[in-house]
Amino acid sequence: MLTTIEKVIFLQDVDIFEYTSTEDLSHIAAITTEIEVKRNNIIYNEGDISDAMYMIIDGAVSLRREGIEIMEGKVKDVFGTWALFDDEPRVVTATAVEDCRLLRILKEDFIELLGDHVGITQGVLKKMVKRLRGLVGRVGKEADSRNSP
Amino acid sequence: MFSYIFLIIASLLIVKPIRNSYFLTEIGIGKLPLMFVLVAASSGAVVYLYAKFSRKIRLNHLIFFTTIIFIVTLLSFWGIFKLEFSGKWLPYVFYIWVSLFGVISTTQFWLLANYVFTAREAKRLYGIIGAGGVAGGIFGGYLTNFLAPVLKSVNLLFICVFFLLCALFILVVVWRKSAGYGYRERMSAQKRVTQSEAADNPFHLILKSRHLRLLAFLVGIGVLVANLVDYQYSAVASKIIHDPNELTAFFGFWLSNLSIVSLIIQILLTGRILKSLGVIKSLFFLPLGILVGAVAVLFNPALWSAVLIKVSEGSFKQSINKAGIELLIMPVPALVKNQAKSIIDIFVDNLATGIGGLLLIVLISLAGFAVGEISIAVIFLLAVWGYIIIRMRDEYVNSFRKAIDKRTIDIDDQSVNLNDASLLDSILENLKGDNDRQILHILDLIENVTDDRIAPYLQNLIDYPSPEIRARALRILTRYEKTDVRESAEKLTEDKNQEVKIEAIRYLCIKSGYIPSTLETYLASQDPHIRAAAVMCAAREMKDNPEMGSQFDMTSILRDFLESVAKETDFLHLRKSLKINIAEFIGTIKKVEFNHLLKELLEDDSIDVLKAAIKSAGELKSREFSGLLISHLKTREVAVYAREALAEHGDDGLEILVEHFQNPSVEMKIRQRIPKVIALIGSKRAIATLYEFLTLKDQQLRYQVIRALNLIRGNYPMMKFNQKVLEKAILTQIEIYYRLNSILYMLNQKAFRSSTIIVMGTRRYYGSRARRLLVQAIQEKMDRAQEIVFRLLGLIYDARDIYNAFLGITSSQQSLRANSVEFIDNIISAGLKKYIIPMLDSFSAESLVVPGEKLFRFQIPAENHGINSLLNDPDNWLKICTLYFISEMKKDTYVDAIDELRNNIDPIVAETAEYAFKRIEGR
Repeated sequence: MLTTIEKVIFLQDVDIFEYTSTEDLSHIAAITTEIEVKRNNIIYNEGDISDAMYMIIDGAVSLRREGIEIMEGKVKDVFGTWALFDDEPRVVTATAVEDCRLLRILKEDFIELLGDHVGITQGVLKKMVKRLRGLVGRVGKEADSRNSP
Repeated sequence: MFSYIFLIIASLLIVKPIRNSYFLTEIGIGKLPLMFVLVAASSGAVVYLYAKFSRKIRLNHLIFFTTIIFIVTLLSFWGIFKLEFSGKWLPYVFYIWVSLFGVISTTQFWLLANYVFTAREAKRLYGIIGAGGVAGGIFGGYLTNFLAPVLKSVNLLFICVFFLLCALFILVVVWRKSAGYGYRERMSAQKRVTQSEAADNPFHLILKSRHLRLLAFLVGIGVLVANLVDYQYSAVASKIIHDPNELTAFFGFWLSNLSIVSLIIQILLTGRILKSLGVIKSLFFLPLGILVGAVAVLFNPALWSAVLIKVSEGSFKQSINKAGIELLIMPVPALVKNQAKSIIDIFVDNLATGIGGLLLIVLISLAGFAVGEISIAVIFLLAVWGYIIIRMRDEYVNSFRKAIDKRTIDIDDQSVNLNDASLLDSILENLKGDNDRQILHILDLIENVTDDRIAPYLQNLIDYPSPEIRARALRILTRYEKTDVRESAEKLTEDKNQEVKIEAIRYLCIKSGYIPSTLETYLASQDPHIRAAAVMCAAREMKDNPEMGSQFDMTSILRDFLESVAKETDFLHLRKSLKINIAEFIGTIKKVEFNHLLKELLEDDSIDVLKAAIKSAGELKSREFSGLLISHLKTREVAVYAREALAEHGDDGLEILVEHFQNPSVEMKIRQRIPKVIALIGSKRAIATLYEFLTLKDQQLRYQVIRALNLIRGNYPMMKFNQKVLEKAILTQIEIYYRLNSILYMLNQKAFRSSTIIVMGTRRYYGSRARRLLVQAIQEKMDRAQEIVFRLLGLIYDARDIYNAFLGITSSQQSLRANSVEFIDNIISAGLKKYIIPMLDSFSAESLVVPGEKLFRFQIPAENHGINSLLNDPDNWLKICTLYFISEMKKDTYVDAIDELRNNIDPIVAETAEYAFKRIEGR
């Protein structure tokens, strides 16, 4: 089992927590649960209620949509992140392709945590804004390149 | 509040006649028009300044200090008059002072009333309280009339001082008992409203709306004519009565008579006239009354005609016309109404007063009009007035229809009065419709109206599909004596909806004539739903009718019922809503015998029940609940309610809050939330308590204390904080900053020699991940220390400026950062500057080493000293990161320190110490 501090080290590599302070990461670490999933077991199905995000400590996970693999997650990869922020059903099916150890954050616990730690909310929002800005910039560039002769 | 307004208006009605007679005998009637202009100008300026300051000072302090200022100035005037000081400017100053006293003291009273009463209470009680003002007017005027010739006018100022001192005492009692809670609650709401209001200029709102434009003209012309009438009245009186004391008595006597006539018209005629003629025709009473007086003064400018014009102007203005104007503004949406009303009441009133003064100067000095001839101008203005009223008619009905459609009428406005004949028809039309929301809105509007024409419509609504409408219709019908729907109500006791059941039982109880016996029938029902409805009905009736308390043992009724229902799991949901009702009931009824029941509800599993129970505990202000309320600070869903409720206890609750805050065995989450409660109390003692905690070792708690002080600063920007205490706290933070920097520099130096480089954002980290984590944690703590320094600076200097500077300094833009440093350099004291500026000016740990050595004698520590210092740091997160760092180094130098930390109270510190210990031991 990972200790809290090891979980923090792990969470430091999660994209969405890039701007979250290390101490706040320890609060997030406190609400994570370490789970084990045997090879070929399904973690969640497409269309399931989104209730948690996962981080891969060991093993690999295949993410498939309508049977087609979209990506294979390896150690330190994160999947199901958006479950923390919206209520839409899962858009992919996640299956363990090897025996896996995962860190799970339940949406309910995370929302509770956001209410208590404004620093985490600020960090997550900052990251989201950065992403959005990046997206807007990319769309703008693509539009420019399409319009140029 | 009745006594408060009584005393204020009585004082006003004493000083007003003194002012008038003093001015007329000392300066003469010739300068009265100029006085009108001066009053308008000075009132405008003072009201502007007052409005500006009033937002920054707590209301009770504001009223207290302005009343003290009024008392001191009254005593000063008395002294000056007694010394027979004969400065020409004195009558002008006294005249203006009395005008300002009138405007400010009455405005303050209604502001206070706004916080004392809820909107619903206001609707019910403002009429009675307003009567206190009228009674004060009558009393003050007659007192002046009787005492002025005996005691001399000047000595009456002492009576005013006495009245104002009594008002001060009432203010303190009222604020302690009821206004404080409403004030805090509405402060936040007001902040939100102010932000949204800021988007639209109130003048623009008036210019944009034809309805408001006409209303402004109507008010403006009323004030203009009132000034001309006032001049005629004063001129005739001062020409006939020469003795100043007699003149004071005359003015006092007729001001009282005017109030009595106004009261009689208000009680006997206003409602009937509005009901039968409608608002527009009612508005003609005032100009027509003035017309009669103006014609009389034109042909015979004697004392009787002057009194006639003044009494008809004053009495109709305060009764029918006031009610009419209130009705005219009713269809305007609440937010627009608040802004427009303040502009009309203050700006338009002052502008018209000023124009009135100028017009009189033109008429008297340039056109050479005699007193009687001013009536010609008055009659001309009355014609314009009549024209505006006619134009207003169509606009008013249109606005009202629109407001009903959009449901923008403010139902909580105490001025809502649907006696107007023309409006009732359009309202009843809507009751026949099938729009639930619109019907509910209309039911809100007619809640206090009893008109038999409405009854058949209400009767139809008893069978309406929406249970909310069924319940509301039944509730209103209990007031209709001629309409009997007992048969339908009997059936509705078995309605599926609980609220309908409650209203049906209530209806049957009230209509039966003897509530207890009817209620007992339902309390004994076999159906627990009916029993529950009867319990709630009893509770509500007891609230409205406290005498009923002696006829029932309400505590055992509630307890028996809860116990019986608890056994039946099917009624779980019902229990919850019932508990909420009971909790609300206990908060309203404020009887000690229910406290133990509320305590049980404060431990309920349901969040909704908890919210209601916590709110009630706040309203009861009993320390009995403090412990439970504090324990609820940790629950996210109810923390905000618990905070408000605890703040209600004021200074009395500080002791238990401090006790919990200092107790290490209390959950950290609770301790962290206590400073905000203390901030909400916001008293001097609360601030002093927070100062004491500025030196706390625990950084997290200290941070919350500083945030709490910032909150107080935000709520009361004019409040002065103890600069010495704050500067000391700033230096403590800066010391932490430099100490951490020296360790950071040491760690970087060591790591620099290793080859690993990790880049995160704009920062580069050397060495292993554990080292990186530790360095990052130290940098975050330094950032936090810097933030605290700015938070503390915000308590000494302008908070907004400091906040902007902080944003600049933490910005990635070089120029913004430089400007902010420059700004801080210019505003802070020299003592702080030498500590703060190097901290803000540096870009690396290295550049801060020298200032650290110079200011605090911090040397670059050896590695083991630095690490030991971090292991002993009060900050647990630094301890944890250091332990992890040591575990990676696997050095046994620190084994003893680590071993000790294995038993630390913080579970993560203990866990990491255990982890480090095992790694070093090689297990």
